[in-house]
Amino acid sequence: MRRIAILIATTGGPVLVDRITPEPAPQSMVCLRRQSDVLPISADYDDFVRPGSGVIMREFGPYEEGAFRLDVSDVIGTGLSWQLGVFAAHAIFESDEHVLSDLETADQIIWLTGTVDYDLNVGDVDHMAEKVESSALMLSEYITKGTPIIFAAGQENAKFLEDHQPPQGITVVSLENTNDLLKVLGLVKEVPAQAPSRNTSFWPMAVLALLAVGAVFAYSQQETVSEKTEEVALEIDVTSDRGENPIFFYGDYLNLWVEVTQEAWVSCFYKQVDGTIFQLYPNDKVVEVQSFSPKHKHVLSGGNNATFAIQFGPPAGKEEVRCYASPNQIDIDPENPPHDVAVDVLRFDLKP
Amino acid sequence: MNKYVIDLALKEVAQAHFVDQDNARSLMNSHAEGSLAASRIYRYVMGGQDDTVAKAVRENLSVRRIYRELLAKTSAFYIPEALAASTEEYPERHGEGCLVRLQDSRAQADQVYLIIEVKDQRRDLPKSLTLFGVEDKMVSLDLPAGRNGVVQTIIDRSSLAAVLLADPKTEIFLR
Amino acid sequence: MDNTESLLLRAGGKDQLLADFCALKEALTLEGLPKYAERPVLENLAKFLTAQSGGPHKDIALYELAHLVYGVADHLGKDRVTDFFLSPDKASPNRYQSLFADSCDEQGLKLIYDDGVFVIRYGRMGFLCALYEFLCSMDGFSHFADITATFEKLTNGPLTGSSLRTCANTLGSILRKYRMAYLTSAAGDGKFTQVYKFLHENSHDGQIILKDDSVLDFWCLHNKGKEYKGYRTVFDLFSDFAHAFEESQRGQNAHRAAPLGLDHEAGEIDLAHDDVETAMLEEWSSPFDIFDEDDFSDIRFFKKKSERGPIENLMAYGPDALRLPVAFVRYEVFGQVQSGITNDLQVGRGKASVEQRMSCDAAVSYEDRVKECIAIRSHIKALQASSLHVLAQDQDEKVVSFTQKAFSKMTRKGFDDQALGKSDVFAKAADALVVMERQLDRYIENLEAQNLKTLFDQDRATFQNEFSQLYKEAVT
Repeated sequence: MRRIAILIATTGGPVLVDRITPEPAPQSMVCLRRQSDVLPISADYDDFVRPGSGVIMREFGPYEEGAFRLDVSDVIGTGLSWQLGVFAAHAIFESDEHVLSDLETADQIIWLTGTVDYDLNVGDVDHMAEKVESSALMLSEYITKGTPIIFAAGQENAKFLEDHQPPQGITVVSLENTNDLLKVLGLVKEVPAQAPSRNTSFWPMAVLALLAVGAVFAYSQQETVSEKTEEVALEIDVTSDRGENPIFFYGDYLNLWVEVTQEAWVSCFYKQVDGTIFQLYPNDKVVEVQSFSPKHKHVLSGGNNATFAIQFGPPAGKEEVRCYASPNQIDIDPENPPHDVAVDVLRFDLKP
Repeated sequence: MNKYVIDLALKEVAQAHFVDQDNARSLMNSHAEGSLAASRIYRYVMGGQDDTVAKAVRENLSVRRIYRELLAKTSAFYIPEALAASTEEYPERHGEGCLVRLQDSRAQADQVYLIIEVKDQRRDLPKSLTLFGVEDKMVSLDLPAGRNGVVQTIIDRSSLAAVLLADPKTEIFLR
Repeated sequence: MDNTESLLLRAGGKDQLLADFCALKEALTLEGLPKYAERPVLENLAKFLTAQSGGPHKDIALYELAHLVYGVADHLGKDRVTDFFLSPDKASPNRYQSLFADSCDEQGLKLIYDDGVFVIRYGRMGFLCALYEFLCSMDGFSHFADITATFEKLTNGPLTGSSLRTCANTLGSILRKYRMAYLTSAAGDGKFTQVYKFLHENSHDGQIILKDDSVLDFWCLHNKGKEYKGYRTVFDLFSDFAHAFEESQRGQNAHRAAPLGLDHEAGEIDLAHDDVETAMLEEWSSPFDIFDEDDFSDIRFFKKKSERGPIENLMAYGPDALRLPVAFVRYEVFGQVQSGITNDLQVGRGKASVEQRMSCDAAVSYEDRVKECIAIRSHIKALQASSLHVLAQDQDEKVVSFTQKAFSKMTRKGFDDQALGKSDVFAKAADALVVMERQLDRYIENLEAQNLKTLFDQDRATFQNEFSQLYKEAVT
């Protein structure tokens, strides 16, 4: 029997489908950690299971019992993005060759998010970035261990994942319908399509999350460019791992990158929506303040080697980080900065 | 300056009036604790959150009795104690228009399904269940939203609710 | 979370009555607002509960309550009685009017029986609800079963004067025992004797005379003790004293006061129908109570700080303020200064602030106080004209033209085209405004008869001196 761990991706972290039990009760329910705590999604789960309104009994039934009890490892909030994971869990429950597994002893981990409609089409869902980030810590352990992991989602969601280049050990699978899912699970004969080739853009988001928590993937934003000897004007470029005009949410980390064209001393200031300004860099966590070397992406915060991290909190609104570069080590007054320094601003939206 | 002449003949009656006024003023100015107003319990019966009343209902017999009285007046369904004892571990309890039963869970032997079925599906389904057993034992449960005439949840077999529902003498209030 | 439940079994003696009453003060609506207005509802309840004297039938409210319970059962259904009285909804006339909208008129609930009509006004129902709830709740709910059974018996039978009286008598009997157990007179007797003795010692020719200065003199004499530290407390004491004699005078020719009930040996008497009308005498209530009713929320008659605040006490005290107007202006002006000092000390605002108040430099002079009252009286007159404009739409053109001017000048919320559709609200306001004007007239007239400048200077010196004695420890 092949042991498969089904993880339902949520913004609060991945939730393991622990057990499915047919029950002689009128309604199907989702329970937390085998206790008598019934999750509020139970009504939607009952609809999803029930013949007529749902697909589970129709696709995998009939069952003598009128309902199922689904035990999960953690709370699943509102929404319907659990449907794909639950469908996969029921498919495995019904299979003679596969069995639902815990993470420790799993031969395969499948991380899923998406909806399943009455015609068995898989639908895309929101909050992909948060779901990936909140899964990073848990999954890093199993990537290291070598447990194969599949990320399965609707087509747009899968493209999003692909575009951001998952680390080695994770395969992204795009699903048009549940038949594609059954192929991935090995419950139909066709071999699942291999993940498309990766391009090099955004996956560092998840990887950064891993780094931020001391996980396994080595990651560096350092991109050494060919050295040039010619004199260039002092300029500074401030950006983040989410690009030039990112959106952040409370609890997110700001991974701040700075690049200068000449050797320079850098000072950065954070301006809140309410006008409050405070110095971001240097700060008391930086033991030895040094000048920044040119043509080199310096990770100020959030990276593996960074000495401090910045986590967002209230107030929400349009905020900015303004960095100054000077050939000399000088104190910058952010309210009245000198004219002969280079400056760049990273503006972003901070949302609750 | 104004003058007010006191009629000495009225002294005794006036003193009684004065005492009344003084007592009324004391009432208006006091901040004494120690009692609950019936409407506060009624508010709790109707589903309002009130930790003080919840604790008083659990711990104070007088409060529990008025809680029961108010519950009886506002419940959508009432199942009185059953006349005959049942041989089943959890007897089905039939009320006017509703049925309350417990069903073993296959998944967890230490848990049971609490199932409430309402015959007329046009009626509002109950949101809470309160049980009054012998010796003034009482427990109240908030119920999840029901559907298709059925309200269902899971309770521990060892819970007071399960113990009371095993006893046909337990009164059941659904509101 | 409070510790109410831990005290439920501890209350006893007079504390039980205080606790039971405070429980009603703390009763809330679902929105978390007080269910009962302090004035007039709770104030009337307090007066009713403590009424051992008075008359002719001090328990007449129980008779009214019996009517209301029957009316609710009859008009809304027996299963609605509990909800009507105990639901966590604001006990306001509007609520009751809307509940009876289908079966009653604007005046109130009418019950017809024995060839007579008994009317319970919507404005009275809040008090009767509070009374019902008090009876059910008192003494740790120990009478709840008896009381609900009494009402069930009433509503299960036909409506007759006899059944209503029986119900009221049963309630009266229960309440009599409660009062006997928890109402004490010791404190009140002591205070009465103290005031009486003080006045007696300061009067001559076998007459006892209460003057404005009696209040100030008593305060100066007793303010070092804990009980009479506040001038306002002493004013209330003398006000109650005078009021008690007036009540006695009024009741001199009336029936002997007695509680309702059936225990004749204990002094309870059966209720006779004829007593009802004479018993339902109106007591003074602040005209502002009218403006606090729900249907006034969209019409701004008074600005809280500048038009209502300065006369709030004058309207609340009514005739008690006019009996000793100089004593009352001291209450308003220097009582306010003393409240400020007490407040500063409570919140630890600091020596400088207390000293500033103790100097009485910021006290409003009596002349300015009169000017303030005159200005507000002008506003009240303008409000009267504006209200008349709304009410006189069908009147002749001359009247409309006069009031139109006043109305159009009233540039504030609610005084617009919509107002014409709210003539019932303006009618209520008009009545209250007349009462307010009369109260202000008399107060102003009384004060203007004094040499206010001299009086104020003297009083300021007196209060300065007393405050410096009273609070010297706080500023050293």
